[in-house]
Amino acid sequence: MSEARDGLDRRQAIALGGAAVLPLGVSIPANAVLAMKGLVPFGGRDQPFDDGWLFHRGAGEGLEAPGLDDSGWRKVDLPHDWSVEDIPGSDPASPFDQKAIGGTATGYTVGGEGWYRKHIRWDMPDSGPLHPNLEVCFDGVMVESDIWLNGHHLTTNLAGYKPFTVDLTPYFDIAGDNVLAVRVRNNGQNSRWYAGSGIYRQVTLNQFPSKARIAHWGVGASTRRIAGGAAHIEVTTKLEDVAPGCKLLTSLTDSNGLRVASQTSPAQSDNAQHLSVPGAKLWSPDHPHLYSLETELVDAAGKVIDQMSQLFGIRIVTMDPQRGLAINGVRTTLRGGCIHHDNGLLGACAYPEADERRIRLLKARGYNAIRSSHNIPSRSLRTACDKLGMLLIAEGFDAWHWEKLPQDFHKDFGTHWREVLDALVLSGRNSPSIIMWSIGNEIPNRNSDEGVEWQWKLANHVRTLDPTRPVTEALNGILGGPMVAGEGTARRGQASKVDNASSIFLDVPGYNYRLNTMESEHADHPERVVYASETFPHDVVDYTRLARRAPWFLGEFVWTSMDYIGEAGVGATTALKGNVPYYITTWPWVNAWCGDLDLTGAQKPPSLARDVAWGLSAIEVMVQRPLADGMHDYVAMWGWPDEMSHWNWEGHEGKPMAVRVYTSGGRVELYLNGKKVGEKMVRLEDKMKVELPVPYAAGVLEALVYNGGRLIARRRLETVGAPVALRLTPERPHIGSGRQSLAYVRLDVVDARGRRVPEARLKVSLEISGPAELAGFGSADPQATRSLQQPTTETFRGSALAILRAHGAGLVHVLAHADGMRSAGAELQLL
Amino acid sequence: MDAQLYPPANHWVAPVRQPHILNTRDASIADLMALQDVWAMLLKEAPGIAMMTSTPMLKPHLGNMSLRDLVMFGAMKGDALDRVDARLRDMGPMK
Repeated sequence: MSEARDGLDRRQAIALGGAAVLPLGVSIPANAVLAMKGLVPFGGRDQPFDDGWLFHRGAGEGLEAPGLDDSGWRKVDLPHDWSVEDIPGSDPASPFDQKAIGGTATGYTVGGEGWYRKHIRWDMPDSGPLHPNLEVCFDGVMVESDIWLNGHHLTTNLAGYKPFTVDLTPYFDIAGDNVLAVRVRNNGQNSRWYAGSGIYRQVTLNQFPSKARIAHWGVGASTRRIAGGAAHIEVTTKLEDVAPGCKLLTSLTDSNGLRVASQTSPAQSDNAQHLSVPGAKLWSPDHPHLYSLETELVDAAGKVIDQMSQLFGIRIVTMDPQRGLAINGVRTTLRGGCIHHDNGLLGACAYPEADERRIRLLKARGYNAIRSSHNIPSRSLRTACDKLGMLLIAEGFDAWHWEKLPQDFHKDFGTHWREVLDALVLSGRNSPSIIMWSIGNEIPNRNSDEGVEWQWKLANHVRTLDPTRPVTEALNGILGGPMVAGEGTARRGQASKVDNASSIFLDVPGYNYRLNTMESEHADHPERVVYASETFPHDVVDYTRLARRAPWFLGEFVWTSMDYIGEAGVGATTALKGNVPYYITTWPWVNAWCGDLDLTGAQKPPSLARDVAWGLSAIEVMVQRPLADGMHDYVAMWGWPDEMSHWNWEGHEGKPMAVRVYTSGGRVELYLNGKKVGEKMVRLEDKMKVELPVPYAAGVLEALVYNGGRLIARRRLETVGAPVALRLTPERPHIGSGRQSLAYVRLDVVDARGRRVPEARLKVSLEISGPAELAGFGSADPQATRSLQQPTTETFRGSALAILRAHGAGLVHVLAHADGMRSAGAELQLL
Repeated sequence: MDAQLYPPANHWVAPVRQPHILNTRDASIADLMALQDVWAMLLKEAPGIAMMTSTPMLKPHLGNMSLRDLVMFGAMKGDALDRVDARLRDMGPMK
């Protein structure tokens, strides 16, 4: 198959297809890749299908017509999210509109309707079938989509986070031009956060030589026993249109490409096989060892007619109130963060490298778990979790039968809940990172009779699909009176036992913001294993201590580990006059500002405090931004005081500054320009933080922290000079040359000694030359309503971030300019 | 070491609600509003509730939050709810 306009030929597609399957998570040597490709006589599965689409922003009728003149449509390579693009005609160019129907929920971004078309032409292969069986797999299209091939309607999808496939075979013309058309609508008030619009996740193509195949998501594998160094794995495989005489070969291949276990059985529609792996290397957050699970369908003549590879990790996760959560027998406290799905300046676009970067950044900050609130995670995010060792709670719904917003998924829930759960569980069940399935978040009326029945239906369906993981739900309150379920309906072992309406069918209830009631609830229900599915950032020390003393408490998931677009200002901090008690965030707030990490991935003050609470750092020092007379600091529940880790407070000389030292030590000493200016003991009730007043003077503020008279750590804050130059720092010196490759380049405003100027706000512009384009450029500023895609922006707290997207191999030069500043340059090698 | 399993149940039979004393922690706001006597008592103890529960921001969450949740968000006073809980206790168990 080739792409009629400018795409790959079939051979290139096959080569890329093979590469796309394996390097997602397993380091399989090139020879193993080739060997595996050799087994596939035809195009095979999982070929990239992201490049060479055409896009039209706007509503229209009949735009699916094959003969439509689409020469004026814009060329786009997926993933694509039009809501993060500048609104056509906006002046100045911006994706934000104060009148957007989503308001603060979607960060004032807009949806609407958009159309995609892709021209496909079949290259007659040297070998292979004359009539190929083709299906396209969409990992997610936001929000509602209709898909046509050559004018024939193929499907409607109403769930924006749900992966789905369409079968092209019935209407595919092997002799002519084929037009795949996708209409996407994102209308009304349908999301409580930024969701994006368009084909925002990856698209792949499967080619099959015949109708006989491994069913979509038809392979499920789970580790059932680990004993004596050997792992016992059960594998079920569904096959379609399988002919007599066919065989099913299932095997596990290690990272050296060696087959470590295999079983061959006569192929049937439903197959159950067992693999035994001696000397199994186990998957865990610290050692995310991966295997490749290979499935081959072989015909009676011995020819492989379908083959697929998936990541697989051998691990057993157990949870009980006496020993907590254990992975392969090792107790593990969840150090978790909730995340929404957007990739900051890239909007909702799920580039694998962007998803992986998020996980890498969080891992570096001590997180070992994330919750994909409140939706099915992208395949690439899940893969990143598998690769990097990040535990994952995968969630299905933010609403069931009752609305949170007028046009949210509740309107389709009654008819489409099952397919969403199928997609959630079946697509992810082989990922070792997933430890629980969440059936919902803060579901309205969940304790009503109807709500309880939905809870059962959803939980029970999940258990039917995957009985190896517990079902959870994020509850803002164990609402509802006591109930008793009978044998046959209750969870295993819970028949005739009293539980609450909103938790009766959950294996592991998730508690949102219940720090003060969790222990009393445990006293009433000592059989429960629970975790904090959402927490306030300022409670980190309390949750860390609770996890230490209470094995039934598995750990916390802070809201949130990373900033996101939308829910604008939920973590706002601002100065308010006199007795004004509240602050309602509105335009121009566009991002949530509650993340540990900001929109560019940089650490914010709550992240530094978390470093201390979680033992990554023994000391961090922050300084409260001074308030004008008559003002007070307003901090939203999800926010953090307006403190900064710097000592640049010009204009406040001689005035007392509130210096806060976060530490795991027992005593703090403060020195300003070499002179001791304060000392304080850190008591248990201080929760790892003390505050000392220090009159401001430029220079060096240094904090020393002691334990039992022994110096354990020190931290310096020094006054930096005026901004004189820009600095560009690529996160990696080289990236790939394909369209999915991204380069993140940090821009800092620095003083004469190269130190970042922490409060610098400067207009900056970029020039890029070479085989890359700008995919995103902006700052972490939660109130910045400017474009995220133009080559100019404004720094916030001394920094900005540029994200470049490759379009070929070669050297890329990036130049940054700002009035009165020395320009900066950087080079990137695209390989 | 064996994997834990969470097998599906066989069939749906509605669980039986047990008599209990209502309180402002476990009952959703919507549940309390639905009980005429209780709601009248609430309006007497905390008159601000009427306006609060009619705001567009809170309306979608009435079946999702308890009155105690509003204390956490600074929208209710704990002592008023303590009085409400005492009155609810006096009303005895209900289903």
